[in-house]
Amino acid sequence: MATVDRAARVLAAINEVASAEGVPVAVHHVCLACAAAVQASGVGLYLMGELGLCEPLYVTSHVSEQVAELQVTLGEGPGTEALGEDHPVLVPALGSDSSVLRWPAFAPAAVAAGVSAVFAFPLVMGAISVGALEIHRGWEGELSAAELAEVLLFADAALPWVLDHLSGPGTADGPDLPSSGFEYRWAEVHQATGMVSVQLDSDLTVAFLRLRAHAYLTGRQLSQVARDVVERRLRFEPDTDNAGAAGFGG
Amino acid sequence: MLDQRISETFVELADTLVLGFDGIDFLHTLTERCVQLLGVDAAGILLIDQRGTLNLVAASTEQARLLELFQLQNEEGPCLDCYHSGQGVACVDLAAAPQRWPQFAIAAREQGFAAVQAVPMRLREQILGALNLFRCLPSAVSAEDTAVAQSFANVATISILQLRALRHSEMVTEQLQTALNSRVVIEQAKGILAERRHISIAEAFTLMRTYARDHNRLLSQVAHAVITQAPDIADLTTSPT
Repeated sequence: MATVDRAARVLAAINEVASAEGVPVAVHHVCLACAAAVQASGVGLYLMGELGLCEPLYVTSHVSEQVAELQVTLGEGPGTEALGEDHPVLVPALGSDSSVLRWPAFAPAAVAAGVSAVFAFPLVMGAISVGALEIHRGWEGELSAAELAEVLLFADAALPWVLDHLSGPGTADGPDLPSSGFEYRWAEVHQATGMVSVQLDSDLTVAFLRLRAHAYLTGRQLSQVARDVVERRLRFEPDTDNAGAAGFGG
Repeated sequence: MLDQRISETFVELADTLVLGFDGIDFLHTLTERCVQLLGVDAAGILLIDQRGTLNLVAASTEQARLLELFQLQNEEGPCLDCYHSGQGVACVDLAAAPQRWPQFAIAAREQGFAAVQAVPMRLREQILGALNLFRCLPSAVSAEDTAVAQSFANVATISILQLRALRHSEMVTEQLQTALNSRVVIEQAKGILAERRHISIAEAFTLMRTYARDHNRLLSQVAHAVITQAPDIADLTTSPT
């Protein structure tokens, strides 16, 4: 199937960048592979920080570093806006009147830095928001349908890594590879996340990280653990099985 | 009377899309209307997204949802054949030999379904997905009902394509991603509700749907309210003791 091919190509591109460096795959390889795939002048990855503020986690180029710094300094921009949203913020012409009206300080400064188009994609899973992936290009124009499909897959790939970053050190093996195209399994994962959040009296992000940590610790697939929760064979308690949440927030 | 309700459904479908693109709710409505107006027990819709991936976007019951997911997982089943061929696919008795979809037939029986009729969501060369109808008894969905279902699917397809053509492509992308994500929000909310009220996932889904309908709210809004524990839906999230 063409779909599977595209997802496989995206994963292969990420692995290729990592193996060229001779190191295990990490989140910056996702960014580098994404930049190459859509001929971006750079890619930035942001975390949702305290109070919903934008925290750059990684940039692939000097241009992207400038864009990230502008957004953090000025507190506005496409990536900042995409954080916590459930849809991408696509700006094919950063120098246009409407863009300048939308981001009066950021837009002219980013254009001056050589960026003409910005496409920001939230890293989001239902009501869980963890960050944003931002593409910077030196020329005006939309992403093509094929490029859009690829960037969405790269964003899918980046999400587990950013979640890993949130859960802190201790899950160094790296996350499972992205779920796109296999969302059927994820329906149960999302349901289980909701159930565990009630069991722990936590937010959904903490609940998801606990579920995933449990999967690591028991050497099982996340979807299997989720099914056990949904079928009520497995419950989480607030004070036990702390490994999953231990690194989070502390 | 039935004719009138069918016409009303066409107007409703057209209206929903003109007013705003809440794809999830619009397609949920479509599956519900199929069950209400046609001789079928459940309905589901598969739709292609911008990654080029086929997604389950709506199902009238939890059983139909599970069966649709099974097809996506195993890459086998009448709804996928319908999408790939762009032609209607029917099976009057899934238990009868020869079996075209042996794994699917077993999964269908487990969910209580014996017959299936899938119609494509298609406009000329463009195929967006498939509308799938399930029956609990091994007998055909009537030709008349199949034709009505195909018309529903056609209106939905044309509306979606027209909307995409009218609006800026950026806006369509943004809204489609919102609609796809709201599906995940609904799953998370189902889990929260199931655990709070000590009920099954299927019951939680039915509760949210009923609540949305009774209070004239969108399913995705109700799901958000469940997650944020909005005070105005306390009667839904609190277990009646």
